[in-house]
Amino acid sequence: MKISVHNVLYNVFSITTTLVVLFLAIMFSFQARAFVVLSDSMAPVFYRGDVIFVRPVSFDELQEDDIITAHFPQSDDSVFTHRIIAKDSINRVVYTRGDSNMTDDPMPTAAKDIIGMYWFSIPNLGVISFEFGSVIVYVALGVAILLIISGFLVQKFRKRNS
Amino acid sequence: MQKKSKKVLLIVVSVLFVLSVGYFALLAPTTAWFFQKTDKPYVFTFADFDTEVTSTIDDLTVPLRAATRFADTDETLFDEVVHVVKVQAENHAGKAAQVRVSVVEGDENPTGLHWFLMKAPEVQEGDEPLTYKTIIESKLGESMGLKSYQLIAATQTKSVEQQYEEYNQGALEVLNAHNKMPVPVEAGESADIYLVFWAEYGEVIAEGLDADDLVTIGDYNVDITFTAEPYSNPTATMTMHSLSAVQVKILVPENENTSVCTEPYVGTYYVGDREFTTVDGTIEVGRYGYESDLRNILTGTRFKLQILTEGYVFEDSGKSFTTGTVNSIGNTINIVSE
Repeated sequence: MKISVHNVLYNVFSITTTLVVLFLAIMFSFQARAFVVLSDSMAPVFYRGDVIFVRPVSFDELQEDDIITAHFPQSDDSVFTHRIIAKDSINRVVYTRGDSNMTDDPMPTAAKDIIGMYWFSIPNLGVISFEFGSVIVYVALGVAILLIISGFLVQKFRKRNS
Repeated sequence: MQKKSKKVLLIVVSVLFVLSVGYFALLAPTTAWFFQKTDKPYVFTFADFDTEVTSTIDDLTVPLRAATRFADTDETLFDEVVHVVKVQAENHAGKAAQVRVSVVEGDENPTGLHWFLMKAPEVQEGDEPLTYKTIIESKLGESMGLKSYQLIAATQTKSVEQQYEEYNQGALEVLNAHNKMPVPVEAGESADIYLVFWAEYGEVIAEGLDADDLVTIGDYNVDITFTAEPYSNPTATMTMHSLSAVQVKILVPENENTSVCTEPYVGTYYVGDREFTTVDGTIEVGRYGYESDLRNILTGTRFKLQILTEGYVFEDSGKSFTTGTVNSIGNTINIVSE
């Protein structure tokens, strides 16, 4: 059997992509959400540039020492990920703190603002997000798709002419 | 047939790959902790900022009931027509921070809006009358005074537009540079930041509005963004402020192993953008501008001050002193008459 570099690359590419897609499919099935870490406040659990995965959890399941991702008070957009240092079940709030922070977070987090509990992280995967601005990513991805498709069209056109 | 299906598969895999990369590239961030209250009284709280933390007050209306001319030394109504936005920046993190402010104007704004950054204790809420104009002139020092003098002197020979253009190229550049300076907030403390807005008369009438009816210039809309970041720079600026021309001498320790200040400070100091050098520790203050800066001084450095001009003393937060330590947010030393 003839082993060419082209075939090896093709297989590596295909297998890698399939694994990534499978991984994402599994994450979606668990309703997990991923976030890029912008702050070192939870070091050494995870660092700036890591991607963390967060799965939904009910307020009653949460305990001290769990790490949660939540919206900031009165904010719908921005989120933070810190460890629970105390839980007030009556008022349905938790008090949080970053592991590497010198102070507790100034305000409690309400149950309604909690997105989920930290599950696991993949180191440095967020570099993709850091390196490319969102617009550049869209343009680069669009160009990549066009190149792939046009490459096949050119090949087909040449074959037909020959 | 096998080749064809392989190609189709490659296209599918390529598209999936691109989508996967896109998914990871466009993930939402989880950031450092902060809190913003974007209705009055405005509050920006941050507790964790190993990266920048940003808060924005969107589409804030700045009602200005009249235009005013900052450069005009005879302008007595300046303080009456300014609009002041106060924001309390609270640093709950365990380390020093600095807060930068930027203002972006709405697309539909009339021309002429300007602003100036102030902080407590140089201005206090409820002070009556608040002499914003005096504070701005004093902070901007000679460069603003010089430009305003030129503007007034040129009144007879140049059009308002020409005068304003000259003013804009000089004094307002200094003003904008001032607004970019960060406001230091020590760990566990808060800083009251004041943004003083006004509509500049010269620009308002240059737009063709009725110069006799500048009491109805309308509302301006702005987005105000506050960015908190760690103040990790181990050096700081020592600023000396004097309204009169005085000479001072600065003594520093001979080396790191002692805190006894015996050696004259040798190096550069700045008055605005102008650089001066001292070899015997003597610094001119109030001669070329109200403020003389010693920049990039290592924090923790001890210093001893001597006044060389009779009748003046050093003052920090209302207290007379002659020795001190450069702290992480810099030192401001006022020189006042005895």
